[in-house]
Amino acid sequence: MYSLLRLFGYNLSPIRDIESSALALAWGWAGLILLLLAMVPLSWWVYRCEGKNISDRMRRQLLAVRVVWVILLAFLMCGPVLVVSGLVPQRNRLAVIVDTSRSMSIKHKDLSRLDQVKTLFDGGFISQLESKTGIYPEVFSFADNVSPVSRQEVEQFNFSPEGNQTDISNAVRNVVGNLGEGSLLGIIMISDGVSTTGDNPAMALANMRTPVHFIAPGQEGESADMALHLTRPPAQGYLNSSVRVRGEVSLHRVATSSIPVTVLRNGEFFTSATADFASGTEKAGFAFNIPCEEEGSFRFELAIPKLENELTGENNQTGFLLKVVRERLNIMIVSGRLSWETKFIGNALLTDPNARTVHWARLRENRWVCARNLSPEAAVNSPNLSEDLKVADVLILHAADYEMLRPAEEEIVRRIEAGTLGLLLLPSTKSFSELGYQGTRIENLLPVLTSSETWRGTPGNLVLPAAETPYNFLRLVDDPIQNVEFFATLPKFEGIYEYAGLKPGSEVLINSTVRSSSDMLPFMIRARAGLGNVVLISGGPLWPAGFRLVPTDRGFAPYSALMVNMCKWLANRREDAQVSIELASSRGYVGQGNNVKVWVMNSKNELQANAQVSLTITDERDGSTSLTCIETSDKGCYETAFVPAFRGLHRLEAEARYQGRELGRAKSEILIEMSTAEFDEPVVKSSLMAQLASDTGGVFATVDQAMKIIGAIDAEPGQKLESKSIDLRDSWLLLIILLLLPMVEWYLRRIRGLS
Amino acid sequence: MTSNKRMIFAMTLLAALCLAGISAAEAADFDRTVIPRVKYGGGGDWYTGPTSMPNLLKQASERLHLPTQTENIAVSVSDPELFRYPMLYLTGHGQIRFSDFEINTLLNYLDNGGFLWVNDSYGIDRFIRREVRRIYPDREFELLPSDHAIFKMVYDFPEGLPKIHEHDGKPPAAYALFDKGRMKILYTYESDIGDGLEDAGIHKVDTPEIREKAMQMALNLLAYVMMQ
Repeated sequence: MYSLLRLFGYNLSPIRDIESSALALAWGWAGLILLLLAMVPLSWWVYRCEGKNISDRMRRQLLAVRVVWVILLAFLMCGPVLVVSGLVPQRNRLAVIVDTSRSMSIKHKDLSRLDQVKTLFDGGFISQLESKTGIYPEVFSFADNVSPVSRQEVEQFNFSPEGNQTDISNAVRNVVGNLGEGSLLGIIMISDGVSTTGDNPAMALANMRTPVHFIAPGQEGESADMALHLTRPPAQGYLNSSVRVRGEVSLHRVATSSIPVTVLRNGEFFTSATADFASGTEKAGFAFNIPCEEEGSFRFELAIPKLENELTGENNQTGFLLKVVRERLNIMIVSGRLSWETKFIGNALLTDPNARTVHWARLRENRWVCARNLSPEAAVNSPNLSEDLKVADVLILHAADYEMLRPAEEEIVRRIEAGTLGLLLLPSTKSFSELGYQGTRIENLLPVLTSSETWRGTPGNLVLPAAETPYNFLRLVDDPIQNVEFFATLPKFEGIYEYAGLKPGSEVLINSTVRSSSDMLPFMIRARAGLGNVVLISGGPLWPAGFRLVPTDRGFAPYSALMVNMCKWLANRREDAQVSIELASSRGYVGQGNNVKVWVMNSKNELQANAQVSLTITDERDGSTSLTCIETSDKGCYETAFVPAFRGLHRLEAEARYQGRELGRAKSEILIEMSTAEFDEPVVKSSLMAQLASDTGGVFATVDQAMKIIGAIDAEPGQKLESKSIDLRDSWLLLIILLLLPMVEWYLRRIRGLS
Repeated sequence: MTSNKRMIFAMTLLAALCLAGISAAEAADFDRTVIPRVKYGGGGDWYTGPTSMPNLLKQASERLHLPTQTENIAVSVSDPELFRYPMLYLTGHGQIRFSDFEINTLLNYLDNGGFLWVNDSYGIDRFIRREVRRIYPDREFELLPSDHAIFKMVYDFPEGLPKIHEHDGKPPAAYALFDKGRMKILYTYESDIGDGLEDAGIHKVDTPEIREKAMQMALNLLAYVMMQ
């Protein structure tokens, strides 16, 4: 068939042997039959009988020629396509990928992991691969990027361990994409598997039909190691508050019950913490607080002791930069009547020098009083809530009936959902139903349904959830267990509202000792409304407990601190400046992207849209880069990203302009370091690599056993089944046949004397 | 069933119904305001005018919807319970004397959000000024002008502090002691609002109009304290 098709001039390349074929018609077989049904009568009509006697033989010949021509014409008109499949020989390919991440510089007995790879290459590993397969393997290095390495570079062993990550799945994907067409005999990955980033390699390699072999330099467990990690170091602290820093120490082949962590601030001893290890565990957390007592930038460095002959000392220290800024905290209180509750909260809030309060209270019908920073003003007939609401970060409602809030309801809901306003609801002598909240948009924000509200005048204590709370404002005492005990010792409240249940997504922040049929009634409940937070306190009073504990001098009494810190959390704390820079972390890594947000407000302290914001980044070598910030979906928030090329302190300066006028500038700093991720868990990931090799049909070996991989490679040239579609009309021979058939018919008729 | 038993059954049923009614109508009642009078040493009559505060608290409940506890309570400055009360009332006619411990406690109380209202019933001026100087040696009483917010709270007093009870024919004066931007002590001198708050008939000269003025001014004071 192959020869026949070639005879007709069809191009079958690269198929050499046809394994199967299938004929298809563009019009379908039904089209062919219909065409024949139309053409046969037509032919019959055209070729009328002339009445002359000719032999039967001649009649049959003429008929055959005509029938063949008609069928052939009809067949070609239907668009015949022949799909042929056949095996195509493939060019063999083989890839060797060498890990050049920083962890490959870890030394084992004076030889780094990469030195061990050099020894392997010097021992003729590549040339043996070449002799086994007949091809020179294509060599790549991988860490941050995957790069091809030339034969000359391989021979000179031009590899250096400078990469900051080990992304196995990305490396394999890239190499397969780079190799192009051919029969891939296998991929040999030389890596310590430290520290695997990117997609889960087990998932990424699961569908590989090519064996991936792993060679692991370094001997697992050869040396002991200790590593210090900071989960997410803080970037910004607020004046007169504290910042909690959490970290973790991990051990490898070290038996100890605790490891001291030394903290330096600007190069001087600041504090120390201890990571206590439970029996049989290799990881332990530690935490410490940084009181923010003065504005400015502070460089913190943390270190754990270094062991003799430790695997690496690079993971024994870390650092971050903390910027302490003055915070904006505008609290607006709206009360339907006077109460000691709001008096207590106001006094507690003003213990924070950054807080500003405005309190509107209804004294009687058409008589309102406003106190700014607890300084009462002369009463007025009607309140102007909207102006104060514009600049409020937190709204506290106490016995405020719905009619009071109705004019500002839309603004309140919009701002809470946008995350620019927090809402705190205090209990009052009137239930929410009596206050008219039922069925309103404000009720939708609450974590409970107000229709089920009943008052229980049962005294109780506060109870924190058993698991350590993720909310800093609920962590008044450092130790989580002591913190839970501390809340239980806070003075009792006198009663609590009971609700049928919490709305989906609501969360109990503080429980009470008052029980319903089985569960404890929640004292403080949180609901999420869009990007904002709503907290409802269902029991009271706050003030007899709190008033006794109002701070004295500069100290923060816990109950007041709870209220102040909660308001700060509700406020989505922001720096008190017209232009402020927000960094996800004060620490970045060379070669890794950093997002920078710039918040812009106008002179009325309102978030400013459509501003032109630029960011200039200057590194320690005085090289500067200017970037334009793009406006985000959050009003007043502009964002950009930069990838630092050098380590060291980088100064950031943002400038915001609106309609050509400068709105303000902000400065910040970020500390760029080399990533320590490669040293966090420096032990060779032998089991992971063995699993990956097994999943793909490959072999795992240490450097010493690398030759067994050469034996495992199947060097047979591969073949690939390919299919090709041939348009049967595309043949000169067929065209000639089609033209010849009428001519033959004409000739036969002429020699017999027919017309 | 005898008539006695029927009576007992009916009363029991009535009591049960009443209790059920209370339970159904039960509402939050936890932030009741109490203003105790200060029980001081020195021999002065700290107990004078026992109906003043109950009357004020009753009116605060009715007019300002402020939950109150309408009892005449006295508290010593050395009592740890002092910190349960956000406002103290001090009145009398004579000598006032605090111990050093009481002075320190009072300072702590006032610095932590507390408030002291001193009502001059007559004859305490010299003594209260001396004791206040012991609490705040570097502060002086300031005479409040008639346009101060305290006279424009619940009710308007365009002329300033009203005259309730005549003593020496002097004009009434409201002296305030401010510290850290907050009014901590108010001393109402030559006005005797406390007298005007007492039950009708105790002071024959106090007409209903005068007594209403006293109540309005006291409510203004209460509202001001609650807002700061």
